[in-house]
Amino acid sequence: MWACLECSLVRFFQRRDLGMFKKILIANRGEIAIRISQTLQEMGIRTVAVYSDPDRKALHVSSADEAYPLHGTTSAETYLRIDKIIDIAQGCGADAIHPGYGFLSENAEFAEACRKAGITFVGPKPDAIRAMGDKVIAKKLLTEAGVPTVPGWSEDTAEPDFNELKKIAADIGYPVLVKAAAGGGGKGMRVVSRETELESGLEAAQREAKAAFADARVFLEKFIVRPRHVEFQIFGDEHGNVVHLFERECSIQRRHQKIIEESPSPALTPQLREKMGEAAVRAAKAIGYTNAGTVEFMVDDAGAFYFLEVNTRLQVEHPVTEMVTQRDMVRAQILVAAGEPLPFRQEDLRQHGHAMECRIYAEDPGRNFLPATGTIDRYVPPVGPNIRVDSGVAQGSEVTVHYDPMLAKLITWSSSRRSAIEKMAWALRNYVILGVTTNIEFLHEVLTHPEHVAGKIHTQFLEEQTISSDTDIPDEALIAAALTARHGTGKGRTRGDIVAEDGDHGGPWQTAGAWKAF
Amino acid sequence: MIRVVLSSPESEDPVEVLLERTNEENRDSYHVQLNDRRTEVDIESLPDGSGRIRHHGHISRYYSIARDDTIQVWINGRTYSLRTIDRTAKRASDIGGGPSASALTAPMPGTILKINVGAGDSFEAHQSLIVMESMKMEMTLSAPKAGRIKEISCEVGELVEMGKVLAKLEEQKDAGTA
Repeated sequence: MWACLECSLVRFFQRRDLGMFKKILIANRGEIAIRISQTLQEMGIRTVAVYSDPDRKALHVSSADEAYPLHGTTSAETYLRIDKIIDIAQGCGADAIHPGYGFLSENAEFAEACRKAGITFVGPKPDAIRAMGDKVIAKKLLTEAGVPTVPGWSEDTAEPDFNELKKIAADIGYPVLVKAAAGGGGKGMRVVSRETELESGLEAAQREAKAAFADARVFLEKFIVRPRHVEFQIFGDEHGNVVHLFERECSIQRRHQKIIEESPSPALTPQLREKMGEAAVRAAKAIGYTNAGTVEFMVDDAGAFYFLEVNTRLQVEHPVTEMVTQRDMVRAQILVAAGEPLPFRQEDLRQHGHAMECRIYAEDPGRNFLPATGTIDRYVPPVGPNIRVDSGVAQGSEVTVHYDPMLAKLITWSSSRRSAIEKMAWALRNYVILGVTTNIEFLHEVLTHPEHVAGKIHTQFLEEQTISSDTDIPDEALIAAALTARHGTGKGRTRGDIVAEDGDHGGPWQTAGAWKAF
Repeated sequence: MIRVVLSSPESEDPVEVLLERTNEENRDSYHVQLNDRRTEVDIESLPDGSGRIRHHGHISRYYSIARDDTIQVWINGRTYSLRTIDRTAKRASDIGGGPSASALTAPMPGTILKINVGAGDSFEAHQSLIVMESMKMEMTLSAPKAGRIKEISCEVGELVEMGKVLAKLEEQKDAGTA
């Protein structure tokens, strides 16, 4: 028992004096900045927000303890500026930086710059970020570690020998996928179904890769038809401990963008889960991974799984893992970054019940999902047991064209998948956002689609299923609209008896109605 | 009494909504007429644009906002956009004849990538006039019918808000008219 006491005393003093942070800068915006700030404040750590000009009044600024301007508008001028962020961190005496997701979170140069400035980067080491950021290197490393990868070919060259590729593609078997080495978000990706299409597919992928990432290197792999996207949350510390926190299934994607996520995956048997979890931990150990990360896999119909990529950051969808494991990912990230051992061992971790997450976007499903902007005039999120809303906006928030259109994440937890879906459907039906068009109703249609409820999902789900909604306007909506037209909305917009000031309905140009967006 | 004419993007036909209090004692009770249909409802409305409507015993909660002539209503988990219209004004499609000046506006906030025409240029129906980019998506703004550019009011690289006039257009009635 003495050893234990000594141990905890040492840890206690480390925490008081050396190890634990006093002030952390959050190099992000929106819901994730707010979510991180909350855990830090719970831990007694002061939080520092940074903001661009359009974000001066944003919610993430007011939820922090301190806030400093980045001066500028675009991401490139603000949230992606390593120099400005390091300057602010040094100026205000922050001892660590949490990068959130997106922006600089997977930028090895940023992690390096933090280290040089004597500021702790909350995340993995720069080398791990760099290695996993290059898909060719990542695949090679993980194959060597015995993690199953999609059969394919990769060579570190921008000008591969075409005849050799033709042979390799034939060996792998069509359809094959041509993918950019530096890629992401579906850019520089082509499915080639037969040999005659290989050359044009290859060229198109290289061209796109070069334009998007200034890197024309591509690789070939077997195209898995209707795969599921299943990823494992991994966590490592600086004492050699690595654990996984089970899986998240993120098969419901629109143009490679996840929109509904859940845990556990309805597709995994306990045996497959164990196998995949072991592979994920093996992957993390192979690259000496520290802090939070995600190993993404594709799972086919037969239950075979293939490594996709490692995300070296806190994922957007981490809340579903938090709900089923009852652990705070951000708290664990901070402890690990401070050099403490992981606050949980593998045998402490269990999956309890089922969690779902829906991403609420400012976009118009009726207009080909074009991003929507404007002022959120009304914001009433759903409230109830086991409903969590990680929101980046509130009533009065401005949604601009400058940044990602995700407004919030809605997360529900229940004892079973079925009841978690029912709770999510209720929560979506009780989420009021007016002033900016959102995908809430679309999410509700997808979520309650019989195939989704049955768990028969894969990454092509939204391309194959028709998601429709009924457009009939109920009488009550007409009555409410008439009352509003009459009384206004209490914002000084009271209108006359019948609204007739505006007689101009535009010329024939507007009525043609179709300035079509392709 | 409240009388409002509403139209929606989904339906061609406007709906005339008439609301009248049933009696002075029960101030929540209304006679409703929707075009030719009549019904009775109880309405509790708050000045902030929210409230609830009881119709044959069914409760509907609503939230609404008004912006210019557009009213957005959230009711029972669904959002509807409606426009208040003035029936006495001529419908746009009824306006005919004569070169009529109008504008090409930005359907989305975004950046102007390309301007394919200049002031004074004539264009054909469906001709691509301006290309813009919004959130990494390219879109072509093309002409619905033949016409002539009166004025270009944007430039390449410019960040424009939704609804901004990008070009003034005029319909070309006959060849040769300015």
